[in-house]
Parts: sequence; structure tokens; C-alpha cells
Amino acid sequence: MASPCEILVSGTGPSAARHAVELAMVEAERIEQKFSRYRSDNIVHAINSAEGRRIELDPETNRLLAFADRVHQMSDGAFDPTAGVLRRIWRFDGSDRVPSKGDVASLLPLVGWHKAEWDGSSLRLPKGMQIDLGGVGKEYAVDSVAESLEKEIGGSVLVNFGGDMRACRPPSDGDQWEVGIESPHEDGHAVRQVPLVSGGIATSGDARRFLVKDGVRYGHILDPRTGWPVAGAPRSVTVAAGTCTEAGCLSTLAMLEGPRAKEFLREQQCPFWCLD
Amino acid sequence: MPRPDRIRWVRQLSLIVLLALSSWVLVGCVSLARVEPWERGTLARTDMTLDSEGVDLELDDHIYFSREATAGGRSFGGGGCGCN
Amino acid sequence: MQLKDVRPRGRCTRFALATAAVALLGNGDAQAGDHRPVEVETAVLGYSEPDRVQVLEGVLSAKTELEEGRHLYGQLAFDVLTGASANGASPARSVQTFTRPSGESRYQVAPGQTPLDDGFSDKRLAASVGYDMPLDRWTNLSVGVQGSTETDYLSLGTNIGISRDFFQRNTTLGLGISVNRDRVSPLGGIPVEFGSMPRTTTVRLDDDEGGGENKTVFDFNAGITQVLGKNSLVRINYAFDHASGYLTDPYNVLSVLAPVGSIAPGTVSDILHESRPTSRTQHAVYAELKRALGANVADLSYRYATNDWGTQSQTVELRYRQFLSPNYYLQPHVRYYQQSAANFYHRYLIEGALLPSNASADYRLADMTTSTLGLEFGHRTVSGKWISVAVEYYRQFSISGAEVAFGALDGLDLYPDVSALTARVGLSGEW
Repeated sequence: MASPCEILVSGTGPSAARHAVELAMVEAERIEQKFSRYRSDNIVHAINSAEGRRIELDPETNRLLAFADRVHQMSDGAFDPTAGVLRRIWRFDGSDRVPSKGDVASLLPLVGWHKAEWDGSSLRLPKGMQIDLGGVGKEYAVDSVAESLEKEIGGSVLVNFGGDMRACRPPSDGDQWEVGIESPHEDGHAVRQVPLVSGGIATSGDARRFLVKDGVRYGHILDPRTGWPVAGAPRSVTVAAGTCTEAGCLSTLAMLEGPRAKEFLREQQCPFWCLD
Repeated sequence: MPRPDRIRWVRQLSLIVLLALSSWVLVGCVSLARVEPWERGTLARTDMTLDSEGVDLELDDHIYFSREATAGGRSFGGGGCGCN
Repeated sequence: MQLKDVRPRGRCTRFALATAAVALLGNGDAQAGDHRPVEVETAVLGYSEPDRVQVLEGVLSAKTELEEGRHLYGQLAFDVLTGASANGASPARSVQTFTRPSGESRYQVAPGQTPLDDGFSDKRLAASVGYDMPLDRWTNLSVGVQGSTETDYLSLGTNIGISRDFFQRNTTLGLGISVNRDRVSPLGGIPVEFGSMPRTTTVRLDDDEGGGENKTVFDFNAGITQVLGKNSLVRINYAFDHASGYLTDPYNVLSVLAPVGSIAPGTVSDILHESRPTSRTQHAVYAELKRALGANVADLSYRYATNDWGTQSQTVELRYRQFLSPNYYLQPHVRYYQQSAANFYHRYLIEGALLPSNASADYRLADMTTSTLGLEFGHRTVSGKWISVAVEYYRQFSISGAEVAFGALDGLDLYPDVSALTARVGLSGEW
């Protein structure tokens, strides 16, 4: 997961809490192993090395692709599981190495979920295209862990994987969980305290990953339709919604709206916090 | 001014004003550029969609329908009342 | 029929996203929570012609999204009408007596006054339901039914439309058809065309309640919406309308006047019920331009219409929304309309002359110009809902016909202007 993960358990004894953490680790590792793009023994590798062949998928992968397909449609292409190839030329390390227009243009033909052939049970990607579920994988893991813990553990649980979190219920000893939102400027200092009764919170932000060139700051969220990051977006957007997956999509889409991010979120009528 | 002349003067002035306003609005609309989905921020605003204030427009159209000899064209169709 | 902008929006609606997320996590059925947002738009309008008609109208419209980009919408409308309406007769130098449409009483009109029937009072209730669904990513189908009922009028109709996007939704083509079947059942029954209006109250011997006639209206609509740039778009529509059946106004009459050269020229010798043709075909072309200028919006439209009753009309309308602050706007509105008379429009008939096949003295069919001047004030609330208040002044003027005042009518205004004031309050938003 590459970020600190914690489980907060309320209303049970220490052994149940330990059990919760073990369950969470098992489920989180399972999802990580299954959908990580760095492994060579999972379904994502099979799809990405298929060289144009059709691959049969299991129900969970199909559900994820169904979700990605739906959000791709709803957002007019702003959300795209095939945008991972752009990583080859964009490295957000704080330097000024912004790729050239030619580099981006040469990769764009390999991006586009509408070019993939997915029929609900199997997937065929044109040669050179790649699937990357990183855009929704972490939030999906948060929700999946939270919901399976909800069934297994007696108390209330808050799952927090590096700022993406989900609580199915309020804590047993109070009305809400107290969540702190970190400023992109200073790590570790909560700028805002937010009460969460139940639901998910996700943050999109470029606190640590960005490029600066000629005085223009480029956040790390790329628009798959252009291959470029969007200028004028807030430094970080935190959204609260019914599930962490939903919140994650909304925060990513908001960042892609650039200067219109706040208006977009207002139209969606979800609680949000922007840090500029 | 006798009445028919005054009416004609008012009519001509209103037409000139309307034409001037129309040209000013039209001038910015001459180009037919292809707008990509990520450039549609302004067009997605509720007050830029064609049937925003739909209920207000329908109420207005209903009045004109019952007071004038021709009606319809916008997106209004069908009968529905005996007021004409 | 609505040729609405029904194509699926590129904007995410939270409900759709939430539904998709729940389907992904496989929990329960694909209904996200217990709250499905409903878009509601409602408005109430009061219209008043001083000394004439007063109308109060209200509309409530709701739209909700079902799964997979489908929508359901419904609308309820009512209107209440009271006051006096011109009955088509000419003014006279002496008191005139007319029989009410029900035949059960009479009313009098003072000398020199335009005859108005002040017994008009009616309530109307209308309802419509519509449904639209995507046929594929670029195509949308919509269907709907509507009905409306008044004391003397019933209307039922259905509509169907299809729209398709091209060029990454820069262009949208739409087609629509609607059919309405109406029944006119006037108080007192359907009058005989060119029949004399009874001068005395008649005692009813038979139960004349059920008299009525039908009317069918068919509409076809084709349109194209084109994005012109990041800030503007244009819509062009062609509309075809064909009405057949009973198109006459059962409450309108014409005065028959003694001709020049007779003993008392210009005096009333008879009052006849009007008669209109049994079919009307109309073509209209409509163009609308919407342009954003910063936060402000200009909306300009033009319509040309022509029908086989001989009327041609042009309409120009401009609305400009100027934001005073992010949440308050002022919107002036100007409309200019001009029509030419129907070929059977006659202000009055002459005694002894050959009766034309159709004749009506309804001033709304005459040469006429109308203008509207309005101002709307709007506010967006903290929760994102819009409230608006508007006041408008509407004037029908330059009403004229071939017939002039002569003899006893000398000095009387046969074509008076009509003015009206309207006030409207509206609310719209998502709940």
C-alpha cells in the first residue's frame, strides 16, 4: 500500500481488536497481490502481457471493470483505467522534467478505455495498452476491508489506509469518529478536524508528488484525454461520501476540473475540503 | 406626435436596439471550434443548458399561446388547453 | 411533447456514482442508500389584464434518475381564469345585450365599450409523465403522455422523441412526434356556425349538456443543437403542426352591421357565432443562441411561423442574465412579436353581403404586434437551490383589420390595445 495503514476498533476487547487487524491485513494483502501492477503472477499482469489476446476474468475483476466502465462513461472519459502507460513519461519527483508534447502525443493512442473490448466476462486490450487499477484500487481495498470487518467483528471499525478511510458505523463510545485532514504544506499537522459518523473519506492531492516548471506547478493527476495534468487545481481535495470508492472518484474528478473543482463538488452536494 | 407616427417610431427604435444587442451576442459565436469534453466546464453550467428555467419558459409560452395566433417551435408541442 | 436536452450529461451525478460503488462492493442490491435525488422545478404566475382577464397558474415539475442513465419525470399544472374577455362583437352607440354561452342569462355592455363577456371563470388541471432512456452511449429515447381537463375542454396526448449526439457531443440531432386528441364541450353546447346568438333567454326544454366536438393535433419536430465554442451554442428547430376537427371558438361572435347607405349605417342588425376552418397546418422555424460572457449569460432567439390560415409571424426574444454577485442575478427580458391577420379575420360583417365560408372577429387573429418587457431577479441559496421573482409587462398593440369604423361606429376604437402585467415566482433545485 506504500502508506501507513491503521485500523481503529471501538467497543471490543483487545483480542477482538487483534483479530480485526489480522483479518484486515489478510484482505488488504489479497487485494494488493491480485491487482498490483508490479507483480507478475496476477490477473493484471496476465491482461497487460496478453499482446492482444482475450483474457477471461473472475467475478471480482469484472465488478471492478464494470465500475470503471460506468465512471468512465459518467465522467466523459476523465476516469480511465488504461491511463497507466502515461507513467512512463511523467515522474512526479519535484523536479522540472516535464515531458515534451511529442512524448505525450506518442503515448496518447495507447490510452482510452473505449478502445478496450470488455464484454462483462473477458477483456481484450489492443497491443501496447495497459490496465492500471491504481486509481480505484486503494479505495476499493478500504471499502472491502471495512465491510468484511463489519460482518466479522462485534464493535465498530474505522479503516484508514493513508488518508483514505471508511467507517460503516459510528464508534461504540461516541457519536462520531474524529478525523484530521492534513495540510499539503506540513506533514503530520492536522489542519482541520472533521467528524465522521459513517461513510468514506478520500483525498486527492499533490502534497508530495508534483513537478514545477517555469513557475507552473503540475499536480500528479493526469487527464487521460490529453495526457497532461490539469492546471489550476487545488493542492488537495478531500471528499466525504457513502463509501471510500465513491469519495475517491469524486476527489479525482474534482481535481481534473481544475479551477472549477469547488463548483463541481458543490454540484455533487457532498461534503468536501479543498486546500490551495 | 400623432399616434400612428409615434407607434412607428417606437417600433423602429425597438428594432434597432434589438438588432444591436443581437449583433453583439452573435459576434462572439462565429467560430465553429470543436470543443473537447474537458473544455465543457462553462457549457455544463445549469444556466447554459437550453431548457434551464423550463417551467418558467413553459408558463410564458402558455400565455403567448393563448394571446397570439401562432405558437410553438421551441420545444413545445401538442395542444392541451382550450385557451386559444 | 418535449424535444428536451435529454442526452446523458457528462457530469457525474452522485447518485449514479454511489449506485455504481455499491454494485462494485456487492452489498445488497444496487440502490445506494435511501435517498434518490429528485430535481424539482416549480413556479406560480399571476397574469392580469386590467378590466379583463385574470389568471393564476402554477406548475410543479419533478425529475429523477433511475439506474443506467434513465430518467422519470412528471409535471402537474393548474390554472384558474376569471374576469372578462372580448367576445368579438363590435362596440355600438347604444347599450348592447348579449346572452351568456350557457344561454341562461344575459349581460349588458355600455355604449362605446368593447363588448366583454365578464362571466368567464374556469379551472384547468393538467398532468404529464415522461420517461427517457439511453439506447446506446450516444442515443436517447423519450416517451411521454399528457392530459388536461377543464370545465369545457379535455385533452389527451402522447409523445415520443429520439436524440443522438455526434462529434463528441458537439452536435445533437433530435426528432419528435406528438399526437393530441382534444374534446371541446362548451357550456350551452356547440353553437351553429354563423347562427344567431339568441337575443332572449331561452327556457331549456332539453338536456343539452353533452354537446361537444373533437379536435386532433399532430406535431412533428426536428432540431439540431450545435456547440459553437467553449462559451456558446445554438439550436435550430423546425416544427410542423397540423390541427383538424373543431377549431372554432364556441364563445366568440361577430357583429353584423347595417351597411353604408342604409337608414342607420353601422348599427347592429345581428350577432352571429364565428366559424373557423376545420383544419390548420403550420410550419415554424426557430433558432436560439446561448452565449456565456463570463458568469453572465445571453439568450437570443428568433422564430418565423406561417400557417394556412394566412398568418405569418416573427418573434425575437432576448434574455440577459447579469450576475451582481456569485449568488444573485438580474435578468432583463425583451420580446417582440408581430403577426399578420388570418385570411378569415373580419372585425364585423356587413348585412346583405355574401357570408364568407369562415369568419372570426377574435382580435388574436388580427394584424397585431406584441411586446414584452420583463425583469427577473434570482438568488442561489446556500444549499444550491434557485429562487426567482419576475415581473413583466406585456402589450398587444397595432391591432388592425381591413374594416374601419363607419356610420354609427364613427369615433369608436375598434381595435383597442390590450396590456397585461404578470408576476412570477419560481423555485428549483435538487432534493
